[in-house]
Amino acid sequence: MQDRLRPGSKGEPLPEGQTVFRLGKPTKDGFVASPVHFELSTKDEQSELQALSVWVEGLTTVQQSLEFIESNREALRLVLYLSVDTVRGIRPDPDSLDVPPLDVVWDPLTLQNGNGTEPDTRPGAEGHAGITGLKRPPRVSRTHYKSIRSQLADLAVPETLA
Amino acid sequence: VTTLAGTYLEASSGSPSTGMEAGPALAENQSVVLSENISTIWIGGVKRRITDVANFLQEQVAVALEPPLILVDKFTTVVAGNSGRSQARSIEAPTRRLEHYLRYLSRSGELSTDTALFAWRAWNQLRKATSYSLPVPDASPGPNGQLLYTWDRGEHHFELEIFPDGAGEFFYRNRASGRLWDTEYVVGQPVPQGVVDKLALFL
Repeated sequence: MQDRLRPGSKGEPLPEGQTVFRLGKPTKDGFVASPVHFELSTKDEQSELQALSVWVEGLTTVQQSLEFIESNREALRLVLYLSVDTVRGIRPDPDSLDVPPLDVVWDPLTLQNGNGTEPDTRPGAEGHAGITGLKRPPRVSRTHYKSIRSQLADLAVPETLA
Repeated sequence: VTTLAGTYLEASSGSPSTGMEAGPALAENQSVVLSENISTIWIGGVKRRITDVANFLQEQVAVALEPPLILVDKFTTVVAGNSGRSQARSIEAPTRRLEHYLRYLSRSGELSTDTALFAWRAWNQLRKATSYSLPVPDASPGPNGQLLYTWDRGEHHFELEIFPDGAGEFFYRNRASGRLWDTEYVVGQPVPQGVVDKLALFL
């Protein structure tokens, strides 16, 4: 019998064979993945891991992940699934040694508690993770990163959220 | 403001109560807001109803982004004949859908009105550069106030990312060969020939 997946510490890589999902808004033409769904927001870039927020299937349900969205959650009607192994295999094409690899790592959620923080124990919180390596280093051309996010859009499996 | 085949549209500042009859001509790149209480505008010496003008301009400018106001971006290349009668092409459904989508994004606050206007102008520039045969792109707002247009056909992927300051970035990726290409662009500036060449892949 397979052991139940256990969340790791911040920045620790997810085990192989996992699937993660990301919530998004439909594009003009509908429920398709767009490269902008894999664009880091300014908030993402300023976070400790500089990671794109995703959720681990098996630890968090789509409905649970919506509970963590603070505003306009009804607009998020697109779910994009990605294999962790596939994400790790993405390289810019043509490749460059200056481009760090993509990874999918644990990113435990916390809540403010007075002057400190405490673990978020709401249902599904344990499945929060992030895709790292999407922040472009200054010396690397933007072309490489546009290539990466375009590949992510090609590889993501979209589903409509009822 | 613009000419084609000898006919021009003249936009002037003026009192809302008296229409657009007075005042100096507007400069290029100046946006004008035509409100409900302005019912007429002078075009080539002929007074026309504002609703007719809106229909006349729809191919080239963004209109009615925020009803009841009519926002008109820079007047460029209004298609008209010597007689002054509009020869503008009717807007087909996909283009109308893009216009409605940009309007929706602007209203919902997902995109600034300026960025929506830049996006609309860029689309019309690209359309014109491809003799009005370019398919309408898919579109989606990004997390940092930008809008992304995408065209996909088989191995070809092409993007235009439009930023809130009117700057743009074109990007091409060939899924089969891995070939990449990109160039910068400013909305309103001439469309680079390299972009026209890439867009030809989608015609």
